[in-house]
Amino acid sequence: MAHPTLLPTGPDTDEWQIWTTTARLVVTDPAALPAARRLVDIALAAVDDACNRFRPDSELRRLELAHGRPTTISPLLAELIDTALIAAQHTGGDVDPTLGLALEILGDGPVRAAPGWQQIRRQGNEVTIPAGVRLDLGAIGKAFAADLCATLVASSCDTGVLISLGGDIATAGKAPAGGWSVLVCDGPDEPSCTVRIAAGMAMATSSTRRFHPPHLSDRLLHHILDPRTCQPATTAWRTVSVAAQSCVDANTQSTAAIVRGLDAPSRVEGPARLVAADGSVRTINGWPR
Amino acid sequence: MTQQMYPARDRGLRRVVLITTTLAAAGLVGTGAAAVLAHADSTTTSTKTTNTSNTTNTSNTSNTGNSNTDSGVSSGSGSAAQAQSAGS
Repeated sequence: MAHPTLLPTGPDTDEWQIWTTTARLVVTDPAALPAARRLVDIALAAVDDACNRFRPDSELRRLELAHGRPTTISPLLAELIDTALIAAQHTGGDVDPTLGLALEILGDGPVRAAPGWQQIRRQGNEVTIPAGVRLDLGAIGKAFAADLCATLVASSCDTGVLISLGGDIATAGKAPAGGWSVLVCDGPDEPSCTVRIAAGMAMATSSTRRFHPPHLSDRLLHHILDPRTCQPATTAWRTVSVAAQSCVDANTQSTAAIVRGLDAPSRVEGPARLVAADGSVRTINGWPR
Repeated sequence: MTQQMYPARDRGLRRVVLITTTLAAAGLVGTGAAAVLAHADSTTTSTKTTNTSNTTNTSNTSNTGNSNTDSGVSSGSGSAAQAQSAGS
């Protein structure tokens, strides 16, 4: 569901399409932009090689050939899987990486629980995934990549940086005066606001806006699944945005909030903005009104 | 600052050191990048330790990593957006 931004681009900004969505790179020192883009391309390619579930040659997909045997994996995939397992643990399983198969058969599969993140065994440089279990690291992978890119650019190019991957935003280094300005809006007809986030902060938005799964042309579904049923989560909130100190944290909290439904506000830890099914907006934990 | 689920920035920097070292070994980035990141990791970890021990922040620049509000998010009405946060 790519929706290119209509935001202006200048000498400090690059924008391009990746992973069926839009990447946007903004730096405080325009002279650093070409080098920053090169680093971002390298990092995104590495993450893609490691965990793109749509590529049969990705390391993640090749893991499926292990059929439940312990398998040596790269440090990058190990970090991605560890990050996903930590997110699952901290959300009580609301965010679960074992939804890969359920996403592939979205709308056609039976109502049953996901295999469960506890089935994944990690030790040293090995991982063991039970036969038949498919991992989806898509959302976490995008947030992880944003954090990675921001830190890489700030540390290597001596510039403040903001990177947005499909609307999941990470920053590092110095920010412009007043902070990074972010439009929080999930579509042309959706309620919107503009906020400023401090240097080093991140933001992610999860959405239940519907789309046509490729194999179901006659049905509209959203893609945030409740691991307890492997079905799209109930839409108490149609959009949740969360700010945190990393994009992985923000994405984990925003995704979990969608899954938790009406109980979400009491459990989200960061500043958050929740748009209810009726379009009303609720802000919590210091999100500006 | 709201309590985070885990020390994300420290963990993130360590992660980047690991990954950059890997990229450098593959010849994708210069080995200097790993050294720079390793330095940034130790510096940030040290800074974080200082900031969590109630030591007065002596930085005069407000945009070097500290929140400009308690939550790190403030109203941006009227400012030109540099990015858009949306579901994908």
